[in-house]
Amino acid sequence: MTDTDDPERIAGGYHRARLAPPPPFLPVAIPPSDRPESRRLLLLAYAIAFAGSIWQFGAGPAMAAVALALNIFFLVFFVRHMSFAIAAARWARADVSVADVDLGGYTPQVLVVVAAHNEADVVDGLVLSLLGLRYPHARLRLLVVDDASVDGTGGRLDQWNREHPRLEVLHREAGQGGGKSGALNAGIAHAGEGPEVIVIFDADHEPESTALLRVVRHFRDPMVGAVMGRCVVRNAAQTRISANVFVDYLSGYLVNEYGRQAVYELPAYGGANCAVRASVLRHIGGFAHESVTEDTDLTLRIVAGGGKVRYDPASVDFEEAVRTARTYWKQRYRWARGHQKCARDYWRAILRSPALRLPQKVEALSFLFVYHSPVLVAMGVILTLLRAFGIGDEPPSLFLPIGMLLMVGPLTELAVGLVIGRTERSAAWSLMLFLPLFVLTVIVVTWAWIGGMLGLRYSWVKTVRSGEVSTVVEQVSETGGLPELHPTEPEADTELVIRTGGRRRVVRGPK
Amino acid sequence: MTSDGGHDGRHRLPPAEQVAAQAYLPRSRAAQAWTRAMGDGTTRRRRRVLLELLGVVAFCTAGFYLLSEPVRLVEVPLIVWGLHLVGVDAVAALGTNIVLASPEGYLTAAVTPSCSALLAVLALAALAGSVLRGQGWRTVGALIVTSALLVFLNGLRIGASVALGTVLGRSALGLFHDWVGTVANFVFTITGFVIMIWLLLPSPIRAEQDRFGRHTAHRPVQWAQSGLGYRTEVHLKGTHMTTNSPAARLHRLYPRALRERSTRRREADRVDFRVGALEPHARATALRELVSDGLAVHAATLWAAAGHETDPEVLDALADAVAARQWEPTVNDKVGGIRLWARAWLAGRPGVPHVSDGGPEAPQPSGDGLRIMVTGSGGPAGVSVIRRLRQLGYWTVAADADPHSAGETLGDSAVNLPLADDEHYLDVLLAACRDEAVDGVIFTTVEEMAAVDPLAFERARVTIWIPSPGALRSTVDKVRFAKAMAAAGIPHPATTATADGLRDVPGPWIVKPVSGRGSRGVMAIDTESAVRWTLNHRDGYIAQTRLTGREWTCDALIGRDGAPLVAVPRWRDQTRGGISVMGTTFVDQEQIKAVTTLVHATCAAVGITGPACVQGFVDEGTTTIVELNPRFSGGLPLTIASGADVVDAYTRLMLDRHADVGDLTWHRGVRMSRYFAEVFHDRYNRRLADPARSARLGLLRENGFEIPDSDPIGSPAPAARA
Repeated sequence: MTDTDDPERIAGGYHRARLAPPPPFLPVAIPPSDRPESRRLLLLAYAIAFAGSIWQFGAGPAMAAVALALNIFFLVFFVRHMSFAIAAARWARADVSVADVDLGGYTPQVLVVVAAHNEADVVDGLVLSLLGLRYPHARLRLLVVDDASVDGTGGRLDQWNREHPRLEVLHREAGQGGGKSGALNAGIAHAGEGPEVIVIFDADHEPESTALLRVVRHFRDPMVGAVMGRCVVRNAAQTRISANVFVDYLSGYLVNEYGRQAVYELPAYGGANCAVRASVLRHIGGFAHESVTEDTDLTLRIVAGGGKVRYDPASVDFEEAVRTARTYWKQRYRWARGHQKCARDYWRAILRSPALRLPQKVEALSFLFVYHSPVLVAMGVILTLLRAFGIGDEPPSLFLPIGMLLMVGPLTELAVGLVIGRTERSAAWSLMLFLPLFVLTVIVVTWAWIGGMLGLRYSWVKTVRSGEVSTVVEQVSETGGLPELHPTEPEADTELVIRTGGRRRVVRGPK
Repeated sequence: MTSDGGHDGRHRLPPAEQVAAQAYLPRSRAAQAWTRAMGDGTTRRRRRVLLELLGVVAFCTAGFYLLSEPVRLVEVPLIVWGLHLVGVDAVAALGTNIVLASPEGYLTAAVTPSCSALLAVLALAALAGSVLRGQGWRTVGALIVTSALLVFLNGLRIGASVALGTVLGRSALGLFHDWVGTVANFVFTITGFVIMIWLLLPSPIRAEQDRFGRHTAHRPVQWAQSGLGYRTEVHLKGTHMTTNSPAARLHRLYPRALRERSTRRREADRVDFRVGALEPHARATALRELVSDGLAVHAATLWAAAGHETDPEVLDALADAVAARQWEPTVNDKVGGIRLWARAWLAGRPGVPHVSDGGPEAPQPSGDGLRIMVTGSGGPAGVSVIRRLRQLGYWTVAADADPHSAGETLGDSAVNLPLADDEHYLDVLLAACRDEAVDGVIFTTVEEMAAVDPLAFERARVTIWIPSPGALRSTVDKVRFAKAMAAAGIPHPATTATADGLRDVPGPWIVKPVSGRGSRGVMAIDTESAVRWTLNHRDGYIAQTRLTGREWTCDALIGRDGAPLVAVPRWRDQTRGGISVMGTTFVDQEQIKAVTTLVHATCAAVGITGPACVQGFVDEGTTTIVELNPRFSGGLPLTIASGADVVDAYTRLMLDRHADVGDLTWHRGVRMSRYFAEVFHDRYNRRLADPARSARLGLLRENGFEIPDSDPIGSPAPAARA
């Protein structure tokens, strides 16, 4: 076949001469867990063991033993946090600004799929960002799954589809179940066998134009099953809560996630701004319908099966953080509930995995139980209060290290995140606000743990978004309701003028 | 084990390739054992981190045991002195104890090692030395300040316990110390830590983002660090750079040698973010100047430029500058990396003559053997460029979206491209460049310039020269252009994009698309109501005051450095469809001076380089600029005929930025009249002879002229008689 006969060339594809890549590695298929969430008997056993210890040895020694165990546990987590902070302080700064190598030289068939449930306020920013993604159009499919929205999201997406047929829309009827996982699985099934890599965003996310190329580049390595990008909060200026979540994310991605990759090669796939190899996803049975944290679930099934998860701190998208204590509670409750369920479901698989070395198993277990540490903090606080009221006879110093260790590690991570992020110095004061937020987290995670152990009924709770802050949609003036799309506007690199009821706003495409 | 092949997930290479790799990497058993023992990259990183962590623990432990007593021996007298200072006299220092007179009699309060501020100070020092040390001396300063604060607050805590003991006795002292004091100590430590972080974080003018995550460094996207701040309009207070900080003032007091040395050290690890905010040309100049200071002096900035810059012109400038300083010692990895980068960049740079092994002389670019693609070959500018390039001896590839355009028949070969707004445009164009092995591409439509990615051409080793994206936008968008003219003080018709703005735009009006080309969509409207209706009901239109007077066009060529090379003004004596069909170059010296001055100012205002076609009016001595197109004009043949061969100059400068194109001059009063020409094809797309031209050539040959058979259609009549 000559060059001119090559259909790829006509289609404008990239046809640089390359060695054929080795076939992708398929990890051992660990299907989604179908075990019930509740562990009532185990909870009862814990209570009996503690009561029995008090009865057998007295309150003082029993409390001291528990406090000692807690201190050791927190020491392990302190070491973990510190090792991530040291790794990030050493290398993360350079990795954030390192030059890209052959970005765009590897462009497999990609499906970008987004599950949208009642997201009318943010869907414009999402779509504009998706249309502005740098990637060969012939190798990219953009699919938004309207998951039974009742706020006009579906109609809005249809409007975008009429303007830009590249954006595909799949409407999912109500009552099909599965939440986000169900919607994603439906979208992936709709796309068929073509895509090699599936990239997932949440509806409130607005990826940078290069995010896709950066996240996909890691699939050159056939061992890689999933890749995580970096999420950045874009609405920090809205409330104190969102400002703190911004700092939390800065540290979570630039320090914690980075450290997990640098020190253990075990970053977590995070559910948005991330990619998974289609063959791997099919092989392990898709996203878990029963999990409210399908991302953690998938991470564990891939790494326990021998696959690799990678993290790219330069693949960035901007998302909207929760703004109120109430939504913060709901979101963290969901995360805690899902993560704790994953811990109960997969800790054995991690221990048995032949693909993980001992340090990796330790780290994977630490990651699994990270949403148990606030529960243990609550226990530590209860012990300390009991001691303060004269119950037990051990010295208070046995209990107090708990407070130091549980604070200093995460606080160091937060501080290093600010330093690496070159954030202006007034942000340092927000560290003080983490103390009350930390208390809130302890309460919500403990509550989630109790709910999970008792098997209290819980299903996906959607986080409400405002859509008031966008990196691509500029609000020229207040608008009432959904604006209408101007019918003749071109691609996303221009300005889109929208008129609604005599008001006007400009949707500015990504640069 | 895996389901598909049986390897455990650690071996990246298939077995056959592992064997091959080992065959090519003969290593002794000892070496292999050593590598295995040291572990892979992750294991080594983990070891480094854990060693550092152990170092931290060792530091804190050793510091605690070695300094515990000496520190307390200092702390205790200080606390007692402080208590005396506030009027609590019933206390005295006794070694590491404080003796106090309480209602229960004399008490001895032991200041234990855990009571001392030492532990908190050591913890902060360990953090500063491990996770915050990248800030250098600032870390040391922050640690000193914070430690002093902690010692003071801890003394306050102990002093308060002792003072309470003098009033309420032993139990109050113990209770306060054990609970309130311990909580206070915890709060003090956290506060000290936060203050240390506050001191270490950059000030707003040096930060990458504000506390809400908004980008504040004002740098172009490609220079920004990914994800450090999202783009929005942020109005910062006091964002001007200052050199009057206490550190800067102290720095000025250093002896000169020390000052220079510390500056070099500081700059070598600091990216000068300001460079990224400059326009491309200024960026190139700034980088050249930084290199001239020495590669090691601004290594971090040069490193960042090499890594993130996407403008080929800037990268060329940087690589050339680095290449000129190969004598400089490679004092660190960054310098070595910059040199390696420059080597790779220059090795891959297309169209730049390199010194060959055969001698020092670089071959001068010429038309011979060089292949130039001309896009928009069906348009008048494309036709003119192709004809001139062929006369200069270039091999031309005519490219157009219309496969049957007449222009495509003029080139030595032809390719068909999609429209510039087609998603495959760039890919197809690059593929065509590869297939036709072209050395450079000349774009004759602005839409195509806006659609291309210069870096993609660099990678494909095809030379192009187009204005920066910002300059292009300023010329395509008539609102931006009007703003640029207003900012530069250049006469320009009053312009508005809104009906409300019409009060400042007197009539009669010209209404036209914001980003239209030629005279498409242009309407002359006399009534304000009609203009208002158009602006209200049609998006993307502007209204301008309609100018009167004599219309002119000026073909200009602006060098890469922004310096004007030539400007040829001509009257548009007659136009058809927006194209000048009759024209005359200016004669009056005063008018030439007035127009060319304004044209140069216009080009500078929008930052254009390369060819520019500027249009305007002269009315009763007043010259006004109407628009600027950053491409060759439709009336280009007149400019060339007047003597200013802008096509030759532009092509040579495109292929070799250092080419000497000499002085471009032109003749006044040269007149052009245009006529139609035709090309014919049969139904199999084979070229048919032009009967009129055949007859003319036969007549010329009969009269003794030598006419080559390959003479392109429409070439000027031969100038020399045989």
